[in-house]
Amino acid sequence: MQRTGSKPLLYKPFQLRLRRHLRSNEEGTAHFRFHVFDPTMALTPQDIARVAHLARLELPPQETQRTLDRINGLFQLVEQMAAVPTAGVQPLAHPAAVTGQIALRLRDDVASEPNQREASQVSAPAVERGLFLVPKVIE
Amino acid sequence: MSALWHERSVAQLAAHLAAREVSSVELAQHFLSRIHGEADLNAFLALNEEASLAQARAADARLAAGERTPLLGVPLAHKDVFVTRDFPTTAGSKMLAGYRSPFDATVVRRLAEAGMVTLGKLNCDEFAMGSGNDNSAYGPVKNPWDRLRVPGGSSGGSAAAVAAGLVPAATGTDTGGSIRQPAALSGITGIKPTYGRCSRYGMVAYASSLDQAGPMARSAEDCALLLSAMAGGDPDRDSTSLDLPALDYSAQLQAAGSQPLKGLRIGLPKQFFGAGCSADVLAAVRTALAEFEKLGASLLEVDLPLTELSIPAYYVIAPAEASSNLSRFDGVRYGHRAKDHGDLEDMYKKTRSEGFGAEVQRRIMVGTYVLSHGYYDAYYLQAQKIRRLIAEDFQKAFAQCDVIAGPVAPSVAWAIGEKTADPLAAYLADIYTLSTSLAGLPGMSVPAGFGQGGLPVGLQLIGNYFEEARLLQTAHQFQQVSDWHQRRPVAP
Repeated sequence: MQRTGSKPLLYKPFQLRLRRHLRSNEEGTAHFRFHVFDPTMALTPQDIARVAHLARLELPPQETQRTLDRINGLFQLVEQMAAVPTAGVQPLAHPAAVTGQIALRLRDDVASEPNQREASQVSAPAVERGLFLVPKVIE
Repeated sequence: MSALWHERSVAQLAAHLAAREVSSVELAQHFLSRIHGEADLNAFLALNEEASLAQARAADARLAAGERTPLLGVPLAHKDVFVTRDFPTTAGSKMLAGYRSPFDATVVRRLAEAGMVTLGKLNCDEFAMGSGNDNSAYGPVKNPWDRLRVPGGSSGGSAAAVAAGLVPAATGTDTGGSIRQPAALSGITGIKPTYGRCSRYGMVAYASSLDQAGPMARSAEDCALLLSAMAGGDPDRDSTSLDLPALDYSAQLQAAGSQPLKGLRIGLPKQFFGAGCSADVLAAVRTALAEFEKLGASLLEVDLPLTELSIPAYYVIAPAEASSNLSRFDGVRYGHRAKDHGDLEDMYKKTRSEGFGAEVQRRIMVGTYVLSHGYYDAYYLQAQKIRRLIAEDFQKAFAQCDVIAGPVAPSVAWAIGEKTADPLAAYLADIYTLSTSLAGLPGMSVPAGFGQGGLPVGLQLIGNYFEEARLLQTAHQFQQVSDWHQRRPVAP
């Protein structure tokens, strides 16, 4: 049986937390403030370092400037989007929204795949007794 | 005659197989020997002759038992972003060196069930990010028409292999033009179907709201045969696949009379015919369009005013989705892991910096940035709003015409390495394919002559949603009166 319909995007406790955070942000008591946005501002080496960290990438210092130049080159193009009037336009996240196939399908909550743990772990870098090994997380 | 099997179309090979004039094993051996002979093109990343010949023997057994289905026993190869049990899958990245999937992608499975024999995996830009196939961790693919030039990308291995007669057909994937553009630059035919027409299950994800699989072959007739087998809903495994009945595209290619395209209105977006397109490409496209008029079609101008803005919109949306999709490569469950590392976070960072190439890392960073606090609205949401406007503009155009036509790319194939130092120049060359992808529309590339240096030019045909059959029929009728798709590069 296929079910259709939509679920709330965020669970209620999280919605409440988010609302509280937004309020405290307005009051200036949030743990972090939203960045003051200036779309004409090019990225700085500090931005690149922050973004590389968020993306869990390690950028060698000699690569920072080249990466910065290339990304700023793209953003000169990206800034052109700001000139397009889009007030009242609904963002289009997915072509399904215009092809009329918008309903998210949910399959029945039954196991349909066989257990393939070994086959799935063949390409894992470090495995022991069916478990993935990672560097020690808790001392 | 056996020396000429590689000059036959998929349809012809199927007929020879059905008449038992050649066996599937003989065809597999013939094409494998051509693949070995053309290793210089660097089109293939993996072969498994034992598995290929086993598949061919199984096809021969089905033929001997009297089965006659359109693709039974015909060889092909898959772009290396489709996961396969019998071959390693790398997506052109060091990150996935040696990766073995426990399952086959749905597209791979469907074509195998139709009896096609997989000869190997085809080189591509890393994680399908690129338009010259020079972003592959396994080296660039050469264009068989001029080995100093790119075959296009990201499905460059697929395009070069078909153009050089190493396989009669191949699969490709198209996120912003990665089927149409290499098809154009390598002188073959390729179709990107409506978003969702083919299942994405088992396709290594780049940008999930854009990625779409499609066939690449010599002719529209061959593409129709492959698409009929590839397409179809896969609701349990890809919730975005279109739950529509499978179609026989081959049955809809024919049209009667001396003017088989009579009544067809072809819209020409004025933005596709401006100063940004080189003169040789425009000349070839206009000559081809005159042929469509002779076939009964009428030409009219249409307006796609946001064409230029499709470039920034795409290069915000696709990297945003890529930054999310590629977060799965963490050195834990599969793929590369850095040898020397400290704690878990250090392991993530070193693994990802070693495993991903420069262009992939840049796109991940762009995506991370546009999704970050304070920038989301100005970049990501604005790009999605422009995406909506682009899709609406297409609908306004389709109120006036049935099919939209123009160039696929603003120039013929460029020299290998020419755009490596200037990725932005490569992004700008995607201008005619990105808007179709953002809207989720079907588009195809049809050989339409030659430009500077005797290099192939592709004509792009764009259809409304679900109108692959109309596109394939229009292209097929053109290929009945033109022979550009039958031209072959001279072997070295």
